[in-house]
Amino acid sequence: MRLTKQYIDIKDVLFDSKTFIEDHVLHINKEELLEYIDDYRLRDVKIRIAHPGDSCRLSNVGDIVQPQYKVDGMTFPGVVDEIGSLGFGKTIFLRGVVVTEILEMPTSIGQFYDMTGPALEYVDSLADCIHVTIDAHPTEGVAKNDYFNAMCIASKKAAKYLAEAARDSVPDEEEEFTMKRDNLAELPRIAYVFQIFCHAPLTDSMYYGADGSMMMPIIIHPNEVLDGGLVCRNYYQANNADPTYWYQNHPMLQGLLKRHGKDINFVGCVMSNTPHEVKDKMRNAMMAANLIKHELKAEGVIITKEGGGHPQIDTALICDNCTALGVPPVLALKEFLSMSNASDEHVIFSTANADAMVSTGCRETVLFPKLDEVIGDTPFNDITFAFDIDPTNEFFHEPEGIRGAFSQLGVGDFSSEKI
Amino acid sequence: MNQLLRIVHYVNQFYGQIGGETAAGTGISIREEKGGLAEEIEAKIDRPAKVVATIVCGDDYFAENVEIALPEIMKIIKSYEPDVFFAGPAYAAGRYGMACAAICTEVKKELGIPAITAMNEINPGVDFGKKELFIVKTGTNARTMKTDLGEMARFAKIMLGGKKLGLPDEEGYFKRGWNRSIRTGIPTPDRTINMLLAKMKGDDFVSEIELPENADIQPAAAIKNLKDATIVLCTDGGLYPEGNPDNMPCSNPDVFHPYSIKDGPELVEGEWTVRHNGYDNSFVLADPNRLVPADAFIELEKENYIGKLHDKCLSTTGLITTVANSKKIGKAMVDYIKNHQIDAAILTST
Repeated sequence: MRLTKQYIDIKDVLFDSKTFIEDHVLHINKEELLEYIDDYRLRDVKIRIAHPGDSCRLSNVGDIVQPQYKVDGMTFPGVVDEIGSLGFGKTIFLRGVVVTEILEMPTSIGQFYDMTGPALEYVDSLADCIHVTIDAHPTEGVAKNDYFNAMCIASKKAAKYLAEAARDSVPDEEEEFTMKRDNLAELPRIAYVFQIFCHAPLTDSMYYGADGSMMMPIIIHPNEVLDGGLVCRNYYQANNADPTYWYQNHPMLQGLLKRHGKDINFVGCVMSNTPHEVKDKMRNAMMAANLIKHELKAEGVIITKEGGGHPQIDTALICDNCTALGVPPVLALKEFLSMSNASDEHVIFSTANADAMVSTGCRETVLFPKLDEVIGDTPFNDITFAFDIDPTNEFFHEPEGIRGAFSQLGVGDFSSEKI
Repeated sequence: MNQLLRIVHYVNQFYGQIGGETAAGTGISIREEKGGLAEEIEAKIDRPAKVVATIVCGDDYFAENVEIALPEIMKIIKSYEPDVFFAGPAYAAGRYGMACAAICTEVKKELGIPAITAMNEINPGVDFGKKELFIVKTGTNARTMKTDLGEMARFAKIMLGGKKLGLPDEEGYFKRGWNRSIRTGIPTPDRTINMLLAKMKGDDFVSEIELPENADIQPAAAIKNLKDATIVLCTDGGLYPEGNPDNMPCSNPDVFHPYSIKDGPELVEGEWTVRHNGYDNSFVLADPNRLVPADAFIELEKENYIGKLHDKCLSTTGLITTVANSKKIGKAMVDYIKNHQIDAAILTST
């Protein structure tokens, strides 16, 4: 399976009477875009543009999506387009611009995004992106979940609409994603368990549009995720869930593909969910390990997770199951227990099989400055005590509150030190 | 920066040259004249500095009169307006180490100036103070006094310069249990793949996260006769009376609180709130009985299926809670249960 990502670099975005791309400038016909994403569940929809360096804060941020358009197939199948296979052929990606949801219905954990200041130190490549924001209120009488669903679809539609403008553009760069099958015999066989975080509809990610909460472990092709097959629909636990942008640019999958054929044989990826019930956790861990051992015939495995505390139990169970089958695991984890709390514990499990762990960073307190402009009418919550934070002022918060900052997929080069 | 650096130093009766164990009951005194340790500190600090006062106090006196001695010593320290505070080194002397750690912690909190002490790992002062302080590691013997005072001076200089100390092992202080984010310069996927390759080959590697200790916990024996049993409902689902009167956090608390649940036949919507970020709270808010099944147990009590439902539920929030805090809450719940003649507990989680 060979996927060609065609990148179009965008240096500026502005509103115009027509939607097109010229000299790396994305011109947007706002009215046409509004009509394209129109949904009876959304009212007072506003499209705005925020540039890196602007003294601007995005309040109560939902998903962040990179504009993409599949030239020879379906874009965001099951969410925007009809069902169709992903992971091969040509897909256009606009680079340097993202579509960002601004939510006007609070959830228990809100997120923000700053266009300048310390927040940008935590978001890696997102820091250079211009944000086209979609800000909408729920139509009267529309329930919370229906509103979030509508926002989720609207942002993906906008992402498709903007990238489609590059249909006839000459790509600035092309990147090929493939898993070559020859000259691999001498290389160690390494598999990857991509543990996603789906509790219930709207606290989940969708694979080809399917709610992930009842999903059993499956083998996927890495290209399917990189091609928009997995989208974020997590509105209640967004702080621990990756925005779609990090699925489209999945660092661990890309890192494994880069070394495939060089010093490793990347034999494949198992996607596994984080269910509620102990029985379901045990079953998923067992099945994931069996797929790793018997189907992918891996000799070593990397496990990452999304979500907060209890998904660590799934990670530890997969770690135990893989070890029992003779497949040594390495875990890459965010350290959640470091906040306002000196502790010698950094994970909530204690299996001796988890003797090899990489830290993807820790929680800490950061002062975020007062910024001139705020996009979004709804404040977001403090994570620990659930009080409203005034986005128009300076405040202490954690990087966890910045949308896109607390990814657990291996974004950047973050780790932590114990002092 | 050329201004004279003002230092206050705390020592016990022995280093204050009053006497050994027999003089441990001696009270607080102040020396302004220069002693040997003060001279050594001034020399090591490497800039114009003066030990403006040495506070001497007997180890027993401090330990037995903390409530009086600590505020008194704080008052003296403040009156000298120091830029930096030294205590010890205390080596393996337990009461001395505790005093040094306690005073340094207070100085750091109240004055916000560098407060530096030094001791050996067997000293209980380490556990007392390491979270808040940078405690210089020493041996158990005062023969290394000059080197140790030099290290304390070095720490002071780094802190006074507004710089951050390096890692515990590099700098020689006790690991404090705090975490801070760093950039490693190596992409995380590559670090992960490298660690896996090392593990597969049997090469050395350093895990970036340490494992906590494992505890094997056995459940209690089942109750034989439910008809005579008093049962308490406990939850870590974060259910609290509306308004959250005890200001419980959404994650990692170290306490539980008991709340009355038998005012009616069931818990009533609107009278309860949830502090827990780990699940969609809306179903529990709509019917709190689905988290703490008071309705069902009040019914079971009426039917005499159980002896009695305890009139309060024990509530806490079990979300990214450390094992240390979980143990603390669990022990406190057990104490409560034992003090209220309760036979069994039902724990509901989310």
